[in-house]
Amino acid sequence: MTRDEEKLLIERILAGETDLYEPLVKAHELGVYNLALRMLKNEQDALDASQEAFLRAWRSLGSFRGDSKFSVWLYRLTSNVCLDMLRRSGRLRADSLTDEEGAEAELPDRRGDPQQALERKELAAAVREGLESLPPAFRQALVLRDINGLSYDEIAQVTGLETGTVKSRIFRARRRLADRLRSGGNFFDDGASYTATGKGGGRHEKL
Amino acid sequence: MKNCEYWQQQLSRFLDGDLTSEEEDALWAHIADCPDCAQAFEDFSQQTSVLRAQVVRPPVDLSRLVMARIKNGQTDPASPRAEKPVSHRLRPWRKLAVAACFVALVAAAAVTGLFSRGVPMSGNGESAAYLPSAQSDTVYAAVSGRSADTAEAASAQEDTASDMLEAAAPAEEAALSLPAPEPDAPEAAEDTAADEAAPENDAVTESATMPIAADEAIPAAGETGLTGSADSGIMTVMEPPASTQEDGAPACQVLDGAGQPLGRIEDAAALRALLTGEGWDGGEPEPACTLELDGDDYAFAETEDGGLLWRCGGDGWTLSPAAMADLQALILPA
Repeated sequence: MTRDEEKLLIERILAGETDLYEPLVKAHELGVYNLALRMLKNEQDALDASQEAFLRAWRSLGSFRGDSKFSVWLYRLTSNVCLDMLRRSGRLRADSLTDEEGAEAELPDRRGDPQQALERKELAAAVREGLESLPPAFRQALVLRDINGLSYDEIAQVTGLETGTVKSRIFRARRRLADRLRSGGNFFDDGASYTATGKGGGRHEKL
Repeated sequence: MKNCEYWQQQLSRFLDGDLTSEEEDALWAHIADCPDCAQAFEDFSQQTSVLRAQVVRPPVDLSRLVMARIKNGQTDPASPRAEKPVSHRLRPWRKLAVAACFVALVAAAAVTGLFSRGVPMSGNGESAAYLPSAQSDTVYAAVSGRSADTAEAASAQEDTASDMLEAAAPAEEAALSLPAPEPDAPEAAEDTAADEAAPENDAVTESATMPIAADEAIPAAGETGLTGSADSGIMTVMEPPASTQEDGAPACQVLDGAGQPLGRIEDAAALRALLTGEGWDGGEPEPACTLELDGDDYAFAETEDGGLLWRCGGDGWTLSPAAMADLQALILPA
């Protein structure tokens, strides 16, 4: 859906075609759910937060002016819902924000596993765990970038941070994640070369 | 070694396609000579590649759930209140106690009294910092019945809500650029010492810098009702002019802690405006009174310091003693 199509759709929804909100939700449910899932770390909370975000978006759809992408606006709502939930649960369950060290200690050394396919699966799981162990501020930035695919500028819009801070935060999140994975023995050390791969949309395709 | 921080940040930017070709060349030149950064390149690349593949389908049909909840409550996206939060039955609070303090306070001039000091946007210090006074003024204008001005004011607020999404807010809106207040102090601190910061502090910093409630706080002109979630711990309220309240019927009956009629509240808008505050985790004290508003059960009690505690759907919020007085003033004798 292009930005113009989206805008048109929203105009029609606001004009009373309620049912048209469904395709709009469908178009963004994956991004919203994954952001919530990585922020909140569990499926049920992520579902609750996703619904709440879409309902908040519905309630304030009239205030969406199309100055930013709808997805960016929606991710900001989602982020706010998630941070609210984290803050609340932080008061109730101290572990939700401070589990970094604890979770780190549980990572087994998987370096010796001979099957690469299995290793990949394990790497994926370790990356997930590592991501979830990051403080929410870092997690949010990294998820918005690498899972939701937002640009630095868009993340700045979502978070209200300066773009420079966004870059820095994403880097720090990656640094932390890498340190954790390396100390857990999760990375492949297959001697692959690290020569320049060119920009390639910023995605490195080694794996 | 010292420079590796810089090069690894460049590496991170490279993964996001943010480097110019000159910057890229310089990066490769460095990596060729620096085993640490070469290692970082491998690590960042692996984890980023894995991360980008980690998209999970929701286990249920989210859009259907959302649509069902919307249709259950309403058909018009411009009237947020119609989409009701899930109504929890209020758990029975132990017994009546403070009920007497609510009895029959006169309502005359109460509404004026309430709004003359502005709507209590929040009792939470943190969020208060991001709900600037200009916004309260608009709320005040909106509830004080100056309908023509109000529409404009609310519309201006609405524009601002959208504009807040833009990184650079125009100068005249600086006061409303919610994310801005403390960008330098906490962010600078974070960027120089982020790795040392305790996770909890990170979270607090992030919460403080997020534009929480910026979007929800400012519905379109003519909207009514509560915005923000009962889950948020912070509720913000915008009200249209009183004349647009849907009907003149009494908003709600107020019962005392024992369930006996205590009075009634006519001014639903003023009541809704009261329902803000700071999240409360201190249990369930005895209610002084209860009422139903917009299909939800609310219970009110007095906090130790004479403030107002209100609860709905299993969650609680607290407000200052002034809010307690406001609530009392709203209750008309039965």
